[in-house]
Amino acid sequence: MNAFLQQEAVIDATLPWLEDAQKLGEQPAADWVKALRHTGAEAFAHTGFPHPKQEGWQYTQLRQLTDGDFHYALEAPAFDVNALPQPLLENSARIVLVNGKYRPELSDAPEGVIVMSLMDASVQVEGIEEHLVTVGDLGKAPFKALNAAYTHDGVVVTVKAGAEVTQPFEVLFYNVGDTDKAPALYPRCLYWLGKNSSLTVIERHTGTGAYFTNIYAGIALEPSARLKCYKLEEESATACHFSYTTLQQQKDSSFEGFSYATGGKLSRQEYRNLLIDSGISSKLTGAYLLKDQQCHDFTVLTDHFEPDGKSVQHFKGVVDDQARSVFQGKIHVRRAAQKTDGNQLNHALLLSEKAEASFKPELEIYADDVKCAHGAASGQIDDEALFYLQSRGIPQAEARSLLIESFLNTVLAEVSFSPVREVYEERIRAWLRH
Amino acid sequence: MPIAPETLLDKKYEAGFVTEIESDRAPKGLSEDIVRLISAKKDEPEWLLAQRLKAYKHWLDMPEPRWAKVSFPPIDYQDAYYYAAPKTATKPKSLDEVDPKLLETYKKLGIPLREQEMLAGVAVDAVFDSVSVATTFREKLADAGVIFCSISEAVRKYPELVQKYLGSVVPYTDNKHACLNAAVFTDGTFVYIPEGVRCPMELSTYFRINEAKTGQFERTLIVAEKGSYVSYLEGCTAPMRDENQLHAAVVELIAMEDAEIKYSTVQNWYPGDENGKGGIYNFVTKRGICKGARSKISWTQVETGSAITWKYPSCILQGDDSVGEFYSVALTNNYQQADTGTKMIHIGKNTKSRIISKGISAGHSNNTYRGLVRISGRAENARNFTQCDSLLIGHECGAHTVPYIENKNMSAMLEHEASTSKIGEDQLFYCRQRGIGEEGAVALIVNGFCREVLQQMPMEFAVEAQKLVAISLEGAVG
Amino acid sequence: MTMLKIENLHAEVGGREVLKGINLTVKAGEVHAVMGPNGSGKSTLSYVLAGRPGYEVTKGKVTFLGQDLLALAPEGRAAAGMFLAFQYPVEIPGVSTTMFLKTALNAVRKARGEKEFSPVDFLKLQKEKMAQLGMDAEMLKRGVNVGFSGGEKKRNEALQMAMLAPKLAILDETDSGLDIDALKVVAEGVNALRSKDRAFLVITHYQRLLKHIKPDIVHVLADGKIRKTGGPELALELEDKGYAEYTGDAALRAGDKSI
Repeated sequence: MNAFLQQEAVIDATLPWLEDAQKLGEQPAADWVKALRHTGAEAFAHTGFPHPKQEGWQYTQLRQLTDGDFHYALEAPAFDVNALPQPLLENSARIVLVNGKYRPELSDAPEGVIVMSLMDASVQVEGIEEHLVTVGDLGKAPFKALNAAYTHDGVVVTVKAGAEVTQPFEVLFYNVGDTDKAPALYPRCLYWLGKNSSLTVIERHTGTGAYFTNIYAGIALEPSARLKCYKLEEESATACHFSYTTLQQQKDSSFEGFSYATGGKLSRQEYRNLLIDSGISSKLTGAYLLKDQQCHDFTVLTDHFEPDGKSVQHFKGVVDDQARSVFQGKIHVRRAAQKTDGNQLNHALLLSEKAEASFKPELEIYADDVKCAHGAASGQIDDEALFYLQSRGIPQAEARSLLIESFLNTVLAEVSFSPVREVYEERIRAWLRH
Repeated sequence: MPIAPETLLDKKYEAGFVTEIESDRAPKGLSEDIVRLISAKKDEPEWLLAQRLKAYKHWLDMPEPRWAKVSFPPIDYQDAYYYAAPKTATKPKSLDEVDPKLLETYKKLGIPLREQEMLAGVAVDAVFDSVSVATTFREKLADAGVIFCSISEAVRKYPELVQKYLGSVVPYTDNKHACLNAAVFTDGTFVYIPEGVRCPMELSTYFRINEAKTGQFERTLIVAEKGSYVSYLEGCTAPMRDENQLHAAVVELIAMEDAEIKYSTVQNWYPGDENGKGGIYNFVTKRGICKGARSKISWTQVETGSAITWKYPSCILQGDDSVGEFYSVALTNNYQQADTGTKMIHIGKNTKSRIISKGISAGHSNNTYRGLVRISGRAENARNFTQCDSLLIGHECGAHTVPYIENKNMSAMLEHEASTSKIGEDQLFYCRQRGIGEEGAVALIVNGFCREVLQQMPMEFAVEAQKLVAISLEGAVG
Repeated sequence: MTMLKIENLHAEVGGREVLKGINLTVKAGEVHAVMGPNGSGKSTLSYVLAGRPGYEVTKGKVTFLGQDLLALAPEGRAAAGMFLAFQYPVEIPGVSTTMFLKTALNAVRKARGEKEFSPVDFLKLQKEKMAQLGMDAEMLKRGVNVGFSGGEKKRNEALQMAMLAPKLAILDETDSGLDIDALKVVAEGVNALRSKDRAFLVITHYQRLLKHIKPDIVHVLADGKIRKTGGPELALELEDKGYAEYTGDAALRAGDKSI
């Protein structure tokens, strides 16, 4: 409980949410999968959805979700294959998940990448449970627990040691909603990169109609593995998106993540980035563009265990209409993690009188020889700059867009793979025209 | 770099002595009877007793606040005394009548109460355990219309003022520690600055816990009327004891239109020994309200003492164009724990706040800055600037920063910066090459690190605060 | 009178041997210049003499005014009368130059068993020395070296030297980052301190500083050893010919012969 902020609203945790999990009982599954479902269900039954006074949940009100009626379906929904969006990049290979279920017939993986449905992988890939039975306490992560209770859908992506995959790899999560009987989706995914391998992933989340997707993703990077992971969260306007990613990095590995978030009415992306050995580089950056009554939450923990790690958490966003943005970042530097260089930055631009931004940029530091800094700022578009542009003949709306673009450019610059950066830039321009 | 956990040096806690003085104590433990007894000892009016009892009943069911990053065993509230007063201090009196032992005690602490010996320009209210034993310069202040007296005296002499403002900024329901204070507060200071008056001297209260197993629950109330100004300073010490003693104070500040209150604290409660035994639990609720337009409240604190510090001096910026400031140095060594910061609640238009926090952790200590900046939808053009810097000395300690930033107004601008660092080896070598020993060099560099805050202290106390920072660091290097 | 005697001094930095047997004797009243190419061990020599942590003496002996210098802590060496003017003076934010100087001066005086300065005497002395160096009093209020230009930093070093009045002053690349005017001022400051009781060790890459601070004896340091010792004419020779003679294999062989 956090009375430090003294908020009052209360939500009752009700539990019809677990009922559909029983449908999975009749399916054959590995023992560890059954155990995981059981543990998840128990943990969620105990906690329910997080209370708004609970630390980490003060700023994201779940009422939009908890008031809804969402159901899990074992069967794949009917949908028109032609409705699938085109791949983002011409030269990429792509796999497709529809409502969290892997569709091999629509999928094609790049050379060097092995893709399997979660249930296939659960019996065929050795050592997989280590990365999927997750780390940490389910009692403190209700969404992760709820996902665990439904362990069935999702994919496992593996790259063999030494493989350098050059073709960009798109992973499309296409979600088909329904207003009458809105689906609840619980995919569980794993990206597992062997020693000294490399991969560039473009992860897209999009769909139609109302649904609730609650994703758990594991990312395991073995020594010297390098992953670039570019996310586009563009869920339908009536969807709720929750994702929980555990990133485990081993010695000298590097991670470059970028998350672009504009979709959904209520979303939260949570990351636990564990730098469990030395010499690791871990960069997670992103941009959010919110309007109407959207609420979006980025919650990022970067945990340095060992020396010589470098981490970046850099997020920027614009918030319009009555939208609300939340950024909760934390850099945790353990005693052994000397020479850590941790950096955290968050800037939000409010575009309307009713827009809101909340931040909690935290540092928790137990090593003395470190360089850690964070900064957060919130404000509006600089009037003087706006006037300056207008005085040069640029119409106001365009001048505003220009200033917003330039504001976001500094964080886009963190995207080292330029074809994706260009996609993001186009997306931002399109959003600004809304 | 040869910085290691503390070795043989004893931390010099110069205020750690006990005054042998006969004391009038209430029976041990807390109950409705004790609350009645305290009220009766002070000849209080019925309304105040009723308030105390209401708070006591509420307290019984109230959970302890849990947000702070501190840990300690559950407090046994029945194993403490809630009222202790030197027998010779039962009635207010002139300085000539004050027990010489008490005068001697304060003199030893560097707070001479005889006016001719005092720092010119500083008036003192001396609170010893549960009672105020002396207040200096009263006549001079009275000439200016300033009321400066113990809160007990204020209850008798100015009941309408006390009743109007007591609990108006920190209600008894605020948190468990503040609620306890509302039930059992014994003494403290009352300051009233009338309209248009610039208080002619610095006011200060010196708090001393002397009795064993006794909690101190003081209450401070400062009201600055329209266009007035006051600068107030409090200092605190206690004897060295193996047990933990509770200090749960409440401070309320009220600034009307164009008024300014500057509130400074030098907190040097006994911090416990080098193994973390003993020390004061300093659980304090301090809050000010800038009620009127263009009013200003400025908190400055130098926190070097206490086993545990839990305090968040805050400002409610209600009046348009009002200003809130928080300047803090928190230094922890050995096994001390500090969780301190502020809340700046922006309600009025064009309100401004500034937060400068410097945390220094040494030994096995943990030091947390926790702060809230909230901009309400009405707070057009609100501005906040926050800077939190942490310094770690040694590798057994922790430094943490937990800011909460909430902006509901697009025209507001907020900036928050934080950094964590250590003392540079090159800085240390540079100082040593110039002949300054290692401890002296660390003290010098740390004082430099804190300068922005220390220079906010009233002149008379800035030097003391600097020395305190140096002394508190002793044993942190070796 | 012998002030500093260095005998067969070997030292390592980060496990690498940088000083490989230095022999050097400095007498009171003398000004020695130690010249050498980059990476020859010049700065290491100054740090080793001042006792910087991380600079490990593996062999040899240093005697300073009859005392075993290497047994002293850095502050002990300062108290004994050794001063190092840093090549890169360090910034100490929040500590004013005055405060720093006062703390240093009183610490040194205390260690020498002298009375601490009264604030008035201190300010008088400071004012006098500032005037000699043409320094602006405003500088004293700023944090030590914080936001100082290269010239200001070096002047500040000269000021500290003047205040602390050492027996032996080591000037480590004092000319680096200085324009000619600043160089002159700093050199004048140094020259003003020259006396029969005081010695200087001027470490420099270039000869230009030595035009303003005239050395009595010039040493060439290369690859961790003194390769040649001579009078002021040696500095001029180096200006003409550079260090080519002292670097590379041929030079090393030649150097070995000369010792």
